[in-house]
Amino acid sequence: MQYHFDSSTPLFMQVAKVLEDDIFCGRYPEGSQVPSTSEISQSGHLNPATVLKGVNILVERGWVEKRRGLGMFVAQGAVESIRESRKAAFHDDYIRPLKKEADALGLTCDEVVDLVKEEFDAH
Amino acid sequence: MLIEVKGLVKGYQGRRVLDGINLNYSTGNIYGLFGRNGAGKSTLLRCITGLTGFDAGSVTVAGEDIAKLHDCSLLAISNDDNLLPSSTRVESIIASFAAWRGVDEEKLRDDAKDCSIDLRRKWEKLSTGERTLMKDIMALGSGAAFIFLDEPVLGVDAVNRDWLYKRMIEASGPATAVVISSHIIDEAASLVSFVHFLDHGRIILEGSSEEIQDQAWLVRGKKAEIDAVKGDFSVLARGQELGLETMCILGYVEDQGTASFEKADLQRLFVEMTRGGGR
Repeated sequence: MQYHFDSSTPLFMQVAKVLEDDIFCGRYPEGSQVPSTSEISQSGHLNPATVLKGVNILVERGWVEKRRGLGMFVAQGAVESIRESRKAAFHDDYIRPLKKEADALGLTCDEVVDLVKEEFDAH
Repeated sequence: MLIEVKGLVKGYQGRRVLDGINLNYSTGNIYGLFGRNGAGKSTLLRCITGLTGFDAGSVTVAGEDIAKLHDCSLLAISNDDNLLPSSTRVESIIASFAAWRGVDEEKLRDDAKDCSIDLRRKWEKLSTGERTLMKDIMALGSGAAFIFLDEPVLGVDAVNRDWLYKRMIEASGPATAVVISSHIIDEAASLVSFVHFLDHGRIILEGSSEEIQDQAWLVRGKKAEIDAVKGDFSVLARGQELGLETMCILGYVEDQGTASFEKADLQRLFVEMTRGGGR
């Protein structure tokens, strides 16, 4: 996995995002073990403290559980919870930048809606 | 445990190689010491590890003056000093080192094998990269609380560099400090938690990597656009590029105005700050 120091997303957020994606896609199913912080750290050449900070975001959100002496596991209900969280962020993450770019290009709301419909119809 | 360097000055042939260095290294961290060729990195690490003396200032290891340090096993360094017997086989060097440090010989042998180094070969027959690797392997496997790696990837190929960065993380921990000194910044940027930029014998920037990643920006635009940027930041460097003005800043920006902003990674920041040379 490649992490980018020069991204505007802090490295620990990148770690959290990658792990979140892997859980959401089912690469690590609910109840299964996720890689340890030192495994993630070594594979990505990342500072262990950075990885811990990233993983702890998922722990705080209840998507990953630490079991003392055993490791970290995907919590039951994590996938649904991630879905809810992403839906809540959909407006900020996608709609607002879309509107910003549309404004810059002088596209009207109707024109944007038509483009969106076109895309949905095509696939 | 802490290494404290205060007001360190060292001259060589009438030139101040180190010109008043203050810094701390504490266990539990991975540090990056970055500087151009001749910036003073190697000399600084040699002073800190007691390999050479200095003219003024102090170095203390866990509160003890470096010159009177009782427990030398607290320190380990991998650098370009060639102190190993050239006609001795790698396996014998490993055995002696393990015995001296009181560490597991097998781990060192395994590490060397991981890097495809033939243990039966004589030291003088190893390539530059293999010698660098062996010195790194021994420093990282020494059990020392403070591990200094001066140009640890010199001549080392991409596969072994990957192995080496993993090994550095493996060797790090709450009771260990690893200091990576290099002019190759990109590869080590995500590994280190704290950064020092050394230029002409002085520390010109220090900070946590996270803070620098968060707060360092490269600003580009016409002079008026650059001047209009407002916030609580320090200007680290200014320059020109493609007929436009550039500015490296560290801190908080309140108003970007119309200037364009991009993240300045460590390497870029370093180049901008040390470009040109002569002070």
